[in-house]
Amino acid sequence: MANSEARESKLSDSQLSRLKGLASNATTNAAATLEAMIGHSVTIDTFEVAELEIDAAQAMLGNPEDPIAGIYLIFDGDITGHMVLTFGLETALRLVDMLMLEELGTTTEIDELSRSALGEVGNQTGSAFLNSVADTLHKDIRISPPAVIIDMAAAVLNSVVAQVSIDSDTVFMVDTAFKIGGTKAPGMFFFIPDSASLDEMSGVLD
Amino acid sequence: MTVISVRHEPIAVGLGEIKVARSSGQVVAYGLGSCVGVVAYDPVAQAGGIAHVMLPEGGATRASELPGRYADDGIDNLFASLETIGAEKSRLKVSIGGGAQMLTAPGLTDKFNIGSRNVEKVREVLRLQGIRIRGDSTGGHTGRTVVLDVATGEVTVRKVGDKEHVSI
Repeated sequence: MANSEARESKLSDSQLSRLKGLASNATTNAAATLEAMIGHSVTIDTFEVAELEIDAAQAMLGNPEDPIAGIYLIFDGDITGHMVLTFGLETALRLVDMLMLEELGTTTEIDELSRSALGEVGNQTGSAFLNSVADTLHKDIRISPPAVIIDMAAAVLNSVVAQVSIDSDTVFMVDTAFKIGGTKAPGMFFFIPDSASLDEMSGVLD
Repeated sequence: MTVISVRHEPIAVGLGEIKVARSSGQVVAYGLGSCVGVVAYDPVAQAGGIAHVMLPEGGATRASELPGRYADDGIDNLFASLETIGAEKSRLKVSIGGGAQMLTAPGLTDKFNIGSRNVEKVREVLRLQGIRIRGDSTGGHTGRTVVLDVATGEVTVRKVGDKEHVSI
C-alpha cells in the first residue's frame, strides 16, 4: 500500500525475529487454551510476523466484502494497545458448534448466544496470547471484555484501524493457520501496541 | 473503425485515499465501517470521486500523508482532485455513506464511537461550505460498500449479505 516502502521500520530485523518467537509461543499457549475450551484438538501454526503500515493490514484479509467474525480486545497496563482475532464466517459458525457441543453444521447464523461464545473464544485466546507476551517481557497486561463484530472484512478491520490510528500507525500481523478438530481454519491475530508501548517493547526485545 | 467495449475494473478507494474518475467506470469504497465515504459528482463534467475518511481531524499528529484520511481537510482535497479533472465545485452533488458504530462492548466508551464523530464532522465541513447532502446512508451498526457510477452519477450502497446495491 501507499508509503509502506518509504517508511522506516519501528523494529530491527533481530527484534522482529524475537517478536516472532514470542508470538509463536503465545499462539501455542492460545491454542492450548482454545483446545481446553472446545474439547477438540487445536493447533495454531505461526507462519509470519510482519510489521505493517495500518493501511496495508486490510489487504491481508482477502475480499473486502466477505463476511468475517472479528473479536476485538483492548489491553492496558504496562503495555497498551488493541488486538483483533479474525475468522472467516464459516469457521466462526463451526467454532460455535464446537462450543455448544452441537454437530458440525448446526449453527447457520450468529445470534446473541453465538456472539457471546465467540467473545469467550476471543477472551480466552487473547488472554493466553497476551499473558505469554507479558510473561516473556516481564510486563503486566490486562484486557477488556471483547467486542464481537460480524460484518464485511474491510468494515471490521477498517473500524479497528481507524480507532488505533489515532495514536499508532503500526500493526503487527501474526499470520496463523488454526487447525481445529483436524479442519483447517484460517484465522489471524492483529496485535497493535500503542506507539509508547512499542518503544517500551523494542527496548526489551534487544 | 472497430469500437471495442472495454470493461473497466472498479477503482477501489482504500483507507484514507481519494480516487476520482471521468466518463465511465465505477469508484468503490468497499466495507466502510466507522469510516465515511464522501462521494462528489459533477454531472456536467461527468467527473466524480470518493474520499475514504477515517477520522474527524488529525489533531497534533498528522502522521499520514493520505489525502482523505481526515474529514477536516479530506473533503477539500477531494474537491481539489475533482477540479483537476474538469469538475467545478459549484456543480458538485455530494452523498455520504458509512459512519457505523462497529465496536460495541461493555467498557467501550463514546471515545470508540468514531463512526458518529466522523459523520458529524463531515456534515459540519459540508455545511460550512454551503453544500447540501443529496444522499445519506450513515449510522447504525453495519458496514457498507459505497459505489459511484461515474457515467451516471448514481450512488449505491450495499450492506453485508445484500445481493443488490440500493440507490441513495
